[in-house]
Amino acid sequence: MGKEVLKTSGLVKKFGEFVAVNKVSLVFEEGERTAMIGPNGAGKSTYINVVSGQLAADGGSVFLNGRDITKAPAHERVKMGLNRTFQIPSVFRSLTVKENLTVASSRSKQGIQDFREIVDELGLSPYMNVKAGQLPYGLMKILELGMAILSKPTILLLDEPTAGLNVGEKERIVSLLQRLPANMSVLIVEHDMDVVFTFSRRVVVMHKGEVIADGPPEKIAADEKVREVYLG
Amino acid sequence: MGFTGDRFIIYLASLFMIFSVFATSYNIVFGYLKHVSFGHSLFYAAGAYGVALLTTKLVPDMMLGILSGIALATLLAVAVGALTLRHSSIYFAMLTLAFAMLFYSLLLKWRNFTGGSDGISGIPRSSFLFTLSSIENYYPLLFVFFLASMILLNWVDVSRFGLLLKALGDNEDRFKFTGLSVYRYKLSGFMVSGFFSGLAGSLYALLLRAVTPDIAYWTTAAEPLIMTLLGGAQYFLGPSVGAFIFVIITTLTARVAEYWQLFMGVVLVALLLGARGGVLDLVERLWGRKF
Repeated sequence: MGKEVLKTSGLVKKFGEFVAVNKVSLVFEEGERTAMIGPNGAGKSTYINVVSGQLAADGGSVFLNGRDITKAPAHERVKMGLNRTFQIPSVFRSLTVKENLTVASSRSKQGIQDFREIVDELGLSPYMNVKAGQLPYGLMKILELGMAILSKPTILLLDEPTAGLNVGEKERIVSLLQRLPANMSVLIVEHDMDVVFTFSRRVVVMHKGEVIADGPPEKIAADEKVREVYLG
Repeated sequence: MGFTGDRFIIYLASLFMIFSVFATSYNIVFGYLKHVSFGHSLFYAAGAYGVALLTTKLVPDMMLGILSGIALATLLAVAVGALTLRHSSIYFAMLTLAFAMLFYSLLLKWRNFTGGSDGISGIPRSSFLFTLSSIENYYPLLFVFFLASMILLNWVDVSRFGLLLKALGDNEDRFKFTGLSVYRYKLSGFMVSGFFSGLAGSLYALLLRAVTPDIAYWTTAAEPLIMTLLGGAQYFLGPSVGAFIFVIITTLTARVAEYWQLFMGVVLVALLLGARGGVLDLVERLWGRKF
């Protein structure tokens, strides 16, 4: 068993009477590559929103590297080693690519150094002086991913990283994800099964706010209940 | 003010410099952080009353007066910012307006200390080292303060701090995930804005050598907003260009009619409908000149 990075214990999130996340307990280990799948409305994005501090939990706890972060604000969670991307790429649209990366790496001098190294890796060099809002959608996703990586997270949460991308862009994102440091844990919420089975070594299936299956991709693909509610 | 000829031009130039500092500092909150504040009249008035109260009641030294005006404005900016910046934009706007009106009422009702509706007059334009009795003598000092303020504000604009404030205004959600505190940066920006608004207020009180509570009324806070919209909030020089236009319009129309607000309103509506980015944006689009 590897080192535990993120743990949620009985996590609950409600919107009025609707329970979006219902007592979800999961553990993610160092370097683990996990995909979270499930039908629309299953609670996947809400789970990420609560874990990242974007939404407050209504019950249960979140632990990051052994520390209870349930009530910590989002920026404190980033300092402790968590970062994320959004379903619709969230970048500083009125700033240039270079300024976006400067802001993302501004917490440390080392961050600035890293940003210079990461630009080529991401293929963003030709776009440094382009406003982020004017980038093609795929590059905007790549930029957001780069900004999240610059904080050197121990766990990275990616909400539908390939949604809205063409085949070539998807391959590029997956290739980037596969080259992330081996000790970085990554959890992706994803609908594209090719991406899920290429990238992940573990698949968590959610349905109606609950975890209905959790295991290696081949086991999940053969699971009757998963086939019934999602894979078809 | 009964200025004529060259003195009138100096007076207008002085107003332009003061408004320029006021509007540029206001733009830190409006243009960078994307918050509409109706409370900046409070900081402007704090600067004006700071200099008026200190020089007429304690020490007749304008330089110490300016320092006390800035200190009072900055302290109030921290206090008001701490109480308002956690609220979303419309509530922020209304709360800042409420604080400005609270301060206005305080200035009006606390007659023994503030002079009530009469305000304070006879503000000395002198220091231990010099006396600047005429506007011609005051003007060079005002120019030095203007130049120093604009250099410092430009430094804020191009600094990493300025970039972070602009990023925060652009996308608060992403800013959280840089690991930096949204609230702390908002408060820092608000404080810097209050500092320079206070300085502008101090310089204004020294220009007129008098101050009345009207300066704290919320409409005073709308003036830098109008100037910024006129010039262009996305440009460092936008608020200054707006201040220039504002001074010209208010001066020209006040001389021929009592309806300068009406004229200003028409100009503003035309600009907002035709060139939302302000005059500089219009110039940039028409002539392709970058600012």
